[in-house]
Amino acid sequence: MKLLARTTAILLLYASVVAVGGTFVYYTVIHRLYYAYVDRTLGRRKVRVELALRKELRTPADLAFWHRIDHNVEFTPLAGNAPAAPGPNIFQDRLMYNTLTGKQQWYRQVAGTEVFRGRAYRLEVRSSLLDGPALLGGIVGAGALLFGVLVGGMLLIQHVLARRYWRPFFATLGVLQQYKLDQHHAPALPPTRIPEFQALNTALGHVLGRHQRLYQRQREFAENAAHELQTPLAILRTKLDLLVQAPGLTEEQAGHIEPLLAVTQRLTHLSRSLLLLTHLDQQLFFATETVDLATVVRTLLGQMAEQLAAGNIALSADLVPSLLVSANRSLIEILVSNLLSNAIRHNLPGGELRVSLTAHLFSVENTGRAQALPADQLFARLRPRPDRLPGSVGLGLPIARQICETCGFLLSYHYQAPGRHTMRVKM
Amino acid sequence: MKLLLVEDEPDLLASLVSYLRAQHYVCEVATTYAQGQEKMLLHSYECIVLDLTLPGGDGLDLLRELQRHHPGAAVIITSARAGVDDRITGLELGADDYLPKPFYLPELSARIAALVRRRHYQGTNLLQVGLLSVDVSARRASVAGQPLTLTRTEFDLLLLLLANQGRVITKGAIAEHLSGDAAEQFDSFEHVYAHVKNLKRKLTEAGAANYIKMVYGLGYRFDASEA
Repeated sequence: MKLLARTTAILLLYASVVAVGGTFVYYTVIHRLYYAYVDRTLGRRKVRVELALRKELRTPADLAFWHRIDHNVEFTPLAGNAPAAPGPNIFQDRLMYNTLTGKQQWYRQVAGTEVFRGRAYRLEVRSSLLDGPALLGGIVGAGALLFGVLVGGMLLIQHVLARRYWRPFFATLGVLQQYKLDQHHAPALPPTRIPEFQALNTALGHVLGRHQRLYQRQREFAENAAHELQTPLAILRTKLDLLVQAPGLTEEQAGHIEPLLAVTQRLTHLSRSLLLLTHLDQQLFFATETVDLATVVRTLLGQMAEQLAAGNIALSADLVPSLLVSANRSLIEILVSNLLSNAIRHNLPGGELRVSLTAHLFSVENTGRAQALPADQLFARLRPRPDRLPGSVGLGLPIARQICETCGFLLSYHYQAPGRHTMRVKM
Repeated sequence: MKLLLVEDEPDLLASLVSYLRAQHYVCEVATTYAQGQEKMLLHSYECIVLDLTLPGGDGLDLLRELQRHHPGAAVIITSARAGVDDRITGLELGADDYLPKPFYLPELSARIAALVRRRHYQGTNLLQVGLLSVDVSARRASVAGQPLTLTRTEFDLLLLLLANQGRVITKGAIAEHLSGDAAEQFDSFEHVYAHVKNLKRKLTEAGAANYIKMVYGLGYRFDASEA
């Protein structure tokens, strides 16, 4: 649930509780006020009746006459002796038949004992009551109307506010979603007048800028280090080239030179791979052209025929006749070459190599260790792995993955059957 | 044949001079931008080997200036700057070849030989070594008039050997010459052995002597005179 929807839901829940509770509180308060008013009015009328009883009325017939004119005043003679003083007022609700409406109806009455002409009477003064459920219904209706207006207004305001005041937030979010560490500049976050979002943007700007600078520095370092290695390597290599020309070179000396040639080769490979990786990371422009992937695969397989033969590896290739892709030729060649040579080098003697190329998928499968490779470490740079071969620099797959990213392909590793490792490039 | 080597690293320059002099080239050297500028404007050379990072200036500027005064001069750029754009700029400015550092001396020698050949012999370009004759532009070889059927790779290998006659060419140099960067994927040199073996067999079967010798497992030497 979205943040705004969540706060709105909580507010709505609270508002409903208040609305329901409020209705009953409101009802009780009005009910009480009304009763207090009715009781006071009844009390005053009773006082007037008592005054009339002492001054105006003469005979019991007058009492009956009053009741006939006003139904809400009634005298009932009581049996027994007259008490010394009038009794206390007793308020109560009662149901009575109303002759005008022809219905049973609630009345409020005050009753007391009066003494008239030496006889005791019970005096009841009444007033018809408001209908309770009708009152409650009215209050609930009015409350519901108010609640509806309140909630509707709130939702509308929140919607408008969310769109207006949260706009900088969504702008920042959009920029962050587009952001990649390897782009050349830290993204510009649009300024906003809302202090919270401005603070957020400033803080993010600092963090992003810092990361960008660190990343840039590290990348430059890798590139410069690789560059600085080229000249010493060039000296090393050319001196070795001259050394092997020495007349009278003995077999023992040659035995010492050979490993030097091999490590020089390895160092060269390492520094070139690092350079290529930093260039790929920098997303330097690589000119694209139309490359026939099928031809590239066939050519490279042809070049690797001797390695296949040396490992006694059976090759089965299922390639479409031609597959044109728009990419940089050198990168495509490095990608295919890395995948194929990996599959050959990590193969078992007498193993199998299956290469297939369809319109959208290039896959290379080789027989190997009967254990899945750790997929998370497979593409890590220079990470020592149990399956690393001696002499390998461990940059082949990271380079392949980076090339795929540059070309918009997807490289993945699959281990579907025991001892069969597959690399797939989805185009 | 006179070459100009523009390179600021003394050890590397010494290697170049030593190897190329033994190939019977006359080598002049320049170690700074100013020296290079002076020599390449005053004299003319068969080929100029130009480093890009020089004290006093950028090799690419030197190349621009050279093209203004001697358009069409033969230039091979050697550079530690392996940036794709440098390579493209260099070639666009009129350089004939681009050899990233570190390179093998036999490879440089082969590239110089190819460039000089291309410049000098535009029509027929025939190499004659012992019984072997090679028409470089037509990519044909024959032994005592009997044509050889060589694959593309075998012919490239033969050219590398011929450009470095009497010198030991290491297996690494051969591998890189034959398959470029893909060579680095393997630590073994099976394909080098296989191609050399095939070439040797074809040569001897055609009646040539065994010109190609292995030197202690380090590499091979092509020598027509020893055979």
